[in-house]
Amino acid sequence: MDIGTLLSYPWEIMMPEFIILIAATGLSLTDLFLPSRVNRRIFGWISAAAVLAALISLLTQAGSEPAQILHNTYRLDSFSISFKALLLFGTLLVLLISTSYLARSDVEEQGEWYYLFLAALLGAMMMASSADLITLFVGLELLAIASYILTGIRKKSAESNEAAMKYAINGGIATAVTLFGFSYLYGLSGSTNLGDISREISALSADHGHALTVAAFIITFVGLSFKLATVPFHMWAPDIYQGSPLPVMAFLSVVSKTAGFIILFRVMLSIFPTVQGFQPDESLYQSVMIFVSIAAGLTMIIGNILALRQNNIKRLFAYSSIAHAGYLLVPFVAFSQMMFESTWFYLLAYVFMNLGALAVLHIIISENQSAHISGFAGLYQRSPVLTVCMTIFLLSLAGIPGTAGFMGKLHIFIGALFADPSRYVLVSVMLVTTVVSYIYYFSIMLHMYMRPPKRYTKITWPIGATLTIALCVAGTLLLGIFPGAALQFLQEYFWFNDMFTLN
Amino acid sequence: MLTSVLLPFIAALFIPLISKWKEKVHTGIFVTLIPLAVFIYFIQFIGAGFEPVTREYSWIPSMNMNILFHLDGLSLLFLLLISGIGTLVAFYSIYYLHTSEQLGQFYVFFLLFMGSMLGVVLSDNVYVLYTFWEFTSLSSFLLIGFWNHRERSRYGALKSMLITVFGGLSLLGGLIFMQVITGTASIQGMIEQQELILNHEYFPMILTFLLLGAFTKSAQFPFHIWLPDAMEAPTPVSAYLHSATMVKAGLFLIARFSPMLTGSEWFFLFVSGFGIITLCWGSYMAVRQTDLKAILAFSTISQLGMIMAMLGFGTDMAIFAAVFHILNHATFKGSLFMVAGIVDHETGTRDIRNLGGLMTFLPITATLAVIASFSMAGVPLPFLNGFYSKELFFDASIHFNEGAQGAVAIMQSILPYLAVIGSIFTFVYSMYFFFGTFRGESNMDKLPKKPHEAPIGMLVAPAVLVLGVIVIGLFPELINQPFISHAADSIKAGDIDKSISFWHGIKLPLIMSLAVLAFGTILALSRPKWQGVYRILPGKLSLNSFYDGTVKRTETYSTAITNGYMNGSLARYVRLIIGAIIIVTFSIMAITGSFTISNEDLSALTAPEIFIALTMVIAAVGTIITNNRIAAILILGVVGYGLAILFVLYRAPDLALTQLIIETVTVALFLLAFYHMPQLEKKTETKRKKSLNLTIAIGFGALMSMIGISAHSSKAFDSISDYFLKTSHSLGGGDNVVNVILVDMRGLDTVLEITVLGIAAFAIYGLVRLRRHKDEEG
Repeated sequence: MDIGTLLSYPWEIMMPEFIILIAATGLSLTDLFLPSRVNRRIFGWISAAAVLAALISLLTQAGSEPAQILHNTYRLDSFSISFKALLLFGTLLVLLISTSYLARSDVEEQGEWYYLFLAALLGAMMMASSADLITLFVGLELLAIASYILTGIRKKSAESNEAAMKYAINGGIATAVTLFGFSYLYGLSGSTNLGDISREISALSADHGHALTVAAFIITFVGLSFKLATVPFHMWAPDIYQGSPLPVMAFLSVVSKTAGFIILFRVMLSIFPTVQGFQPDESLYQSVMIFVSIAAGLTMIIGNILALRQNNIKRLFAYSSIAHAGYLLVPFVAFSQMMFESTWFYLLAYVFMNLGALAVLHIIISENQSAHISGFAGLYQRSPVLTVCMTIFLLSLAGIPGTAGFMGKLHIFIGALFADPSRYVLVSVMLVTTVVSYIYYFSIMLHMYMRPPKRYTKITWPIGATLTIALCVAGTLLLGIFPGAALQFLQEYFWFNDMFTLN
Repeated sequence: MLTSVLLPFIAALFIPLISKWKEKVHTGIFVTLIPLAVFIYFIQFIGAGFEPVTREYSWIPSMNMNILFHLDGLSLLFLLLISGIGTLVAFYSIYYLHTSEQLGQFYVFFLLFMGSMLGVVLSDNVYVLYTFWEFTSLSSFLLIGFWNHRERSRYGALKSMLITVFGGLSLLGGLIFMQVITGTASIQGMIEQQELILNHEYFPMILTFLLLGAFTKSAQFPFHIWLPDAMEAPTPVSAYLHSATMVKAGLFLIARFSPMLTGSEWFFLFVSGFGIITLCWGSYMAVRQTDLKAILAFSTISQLGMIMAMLGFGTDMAIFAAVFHILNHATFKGSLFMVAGIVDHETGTRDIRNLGGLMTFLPITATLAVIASFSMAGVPLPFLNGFYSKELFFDASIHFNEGAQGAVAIMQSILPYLAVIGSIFTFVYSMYFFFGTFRGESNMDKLPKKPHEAPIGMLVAPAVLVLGVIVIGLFPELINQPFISHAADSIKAGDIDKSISFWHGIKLPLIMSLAVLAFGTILALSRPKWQGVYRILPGKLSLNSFYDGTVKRTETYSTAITNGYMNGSLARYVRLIIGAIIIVTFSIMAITGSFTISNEDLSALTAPEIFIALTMVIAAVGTIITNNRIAAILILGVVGYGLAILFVLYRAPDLALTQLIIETVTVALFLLAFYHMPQLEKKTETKRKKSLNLTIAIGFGALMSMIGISAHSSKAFDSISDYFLKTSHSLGGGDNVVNVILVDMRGLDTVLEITVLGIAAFAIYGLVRLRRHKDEEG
């Protein structure tokens, strides 16, 4: 590679990444040279502005032709643009919550806080835009390592330290498993480029490659399920969510999870649908889906059942996020025409409803200095507006019509039933577990509306969290009542099938 | 039309503002105007020349979802019920709810419900219908829990929510299936393509889904258990939601899809079967109750069962009777609920054992009650509408289409008997309700309050309804042509033309009615003697304990699982994760026959190799057994050095050298680190746990070995080594192939690897120094 080739690349397609990169380096350098007595609060708004700028520059790319640079390792297509938008938007909201959180917390390294978030975001964005196992893995690790540090950033809190330790160990195991799976992909194809891998593995004759291809799929899936927090790699989530600062929890449960789905889709869909399966008329992808559907079913069941008895509200949301990851695996299993749309829409809805709920949670927790569910008692008497907002988020998480969550679920149902073969068993599991989930979502509502408050002090609204809640309420309702707008945007500007072209 | 549905929602937005002045003006006064306006709008449609109207509003075109409203006779009937009874109930609530209650909250939920209910009966798009459907469940949940300081209220609210929403979701499943099959989301469109659905292989599933939705909402056996607990709601709510409107949504749904489903045998068997069981069970259970509202709740259940059964019959007569009875039931049951509310309000209790002789204190209320309860009992008097529909019901239960066979025929032959049995109990509890409350001994000392007649305003609403009972009873033809027959037409295509008259001559239905009257009177008079029987059956085996048990068990499981494996122990998580990997990978690899083991091109074993391998195994095991950390790491070193010797034996001295250096450095580093670490504690683990650990460890090792062997055994490509063997001299100018690869062919890789290691070393050094620095400071 000489300088001429380097210069000939259309670098502008990496614009959003560059903005984040520059902001992250800039902030870390400023942090280094700025005297420690200067308050770092402005960093929060600078990073939020950078994320917003990146989001805008990303949206200008919508509808462009797929392109690849850097020896086909970086790839910009509809899939990457649309999912990167989710990452950026989710991070933006998390940063807004952060500004409120840091104002009242014991975190000393406020500068680090922000550029670690940006670094994690950068990792996630690289994952969305990569067409090569190496860059995928580097992105994955960048995200993971930044998250480990963020989890333990409250150095003096034993809970936070425990969470960071567990996260790093679990994450290490997951990374090892993922790499083991990748090594098989590489071994079978002799390439790290996803397109080449797909081509080479498809060309293998069934009696030679089969065994190892299946092993590669299973092991890679198990490794990647860590980021999604689905069975069997779900146990870490409650402990780590509980121990980490709330904005970090928000980041892990929304942005990091989205990134997990991105890498899962990218790797699995680029490679396996073209590989010959066990039966002559099906692909390997379809053949092993029975395994993934069992994992999805178990995830929904375990997440929802365990959430029932949680008194710690952060743990409750951890289990709820496990359950949602289970729902999100359903379109992946169904592999229908609507797969990308359903997943994208549900993730967008999830960004709104979950981050909104977590922003409310932040207000409640910092108000009570405890994450016990009784903190919600009598909220209606203390702040009706906040209660109504929380109600909207809870209804949406539960999937009640009129909210984004319902539209997302409906989309998934339709996709799974339309699919060939129809995945009605999985849909039934989803229906039943959804009913179970009502119990715990509505128990929060019972607390808010139907129990007397412990005290009657007014609730203060910190600006960052308030902005987040306002945006999320608007998003949850708009997507619930007029989902057509988002879907039309998606259909007009994105052709997800271009994921499979050009390599 | 859209405005009429949206009106309650928009009004609900303003309620919090209006309720600020509730001390001066009762909020209910404003609320009453809204259903009244809707009622007036829709009443214009009544008339003999009514034609169905369809309106479409764009919503989500991309998902083929538009707000499609279809106004036909059936929806008109429901619309008028919802808005008419809504007006009366809102008016009644002005006197029932004191201004010290949270009126704002109450009326917001009330309007929310009304709007959603209007939406349910107007929607033609299945998704719009479902959306409104769930909203009715939700607002019912909020209204039942309105008096939330009571534990029973919260229990009832959650119970009704879980059951109805479960039904709602399964309904959604059925609707999606039908949309998938027919390709349209419009109910009328689906009905046009009924052949497609009826003959589809998934039809039984669709029917089950739909019926689950309808049965849970309309409190059909065995899902009826939520309705009695829903009686914790304020009485206006019970009168409105839980007798006149919401619980009839299930009936509406069945009626809506009747044109499509009536032909099916399963439809007849299930709907009629469950309906008639509900009729008998509900009326029998009503007799046992002591709470006035509980009697009415079970009575509602049984009446709903009766209408459901008639919808299942599917004959012209039955459909007509069903529609007629929906209207009649709303009039007499609505007024009875309001009467129960008045009694509760005036005496402070609803326990029928403490009541009695109230006729002298509440003469007007008693008059209303006697008409309504006699109408409910179906007493043959020409001014009671309940008699007409009961008569039609008997008539329908003995006139089926000819030529049925098998289960259908058996069902048809037992239906009339069950209908009579159910009606006898209906008669008994109706009499019990009236005579127990208003006649007999009055025991004033047991009443919390001294009773006197209710305020006029509170009597207006039940009086209007009772007036309805009488007017329909006296002039049934008044509403027949312009109203009822349109509704019946939209359930079953073709002109259903029935005349309603009091006297048919002495025929079987009349004899059935008289039998009911005779047996009912006997049972009602001898009620005290039967108490024992009523109390024994159904006892502990009730469905309620099943529901409570299920909820409780789920929670116990949840606790058990949480304690069982989510205990925060990292070791346990890792054990589970690795266990899962073993099970999944092993089973999939085994099922697909992916393990391949071949010993081709393997060289023979020699004695030194075996010896070294054994030493390594022993050393590895020794590492685990020893309790001293330093000893463990030293023994582990043996494994590494053994590997180095193996490399020597396989003539790879450079690899051996590398291995030796790495091994030495690692051991040294470990020793260095261990020096700073606390003493290893002796762990006391149970035998079970130890053996579990052992199994998982061995399993994982075995899996990895199997995969490794399989990888070696399946040769998809030629080995790459030939290439290097051939070209190492020509390209790299060296004869030691490994060396050439390392320093020449992959020279850059090697340099970068070394650089990475160097950087890492610097970083570690920095960390160590930092630490020492801090120690010195502190």
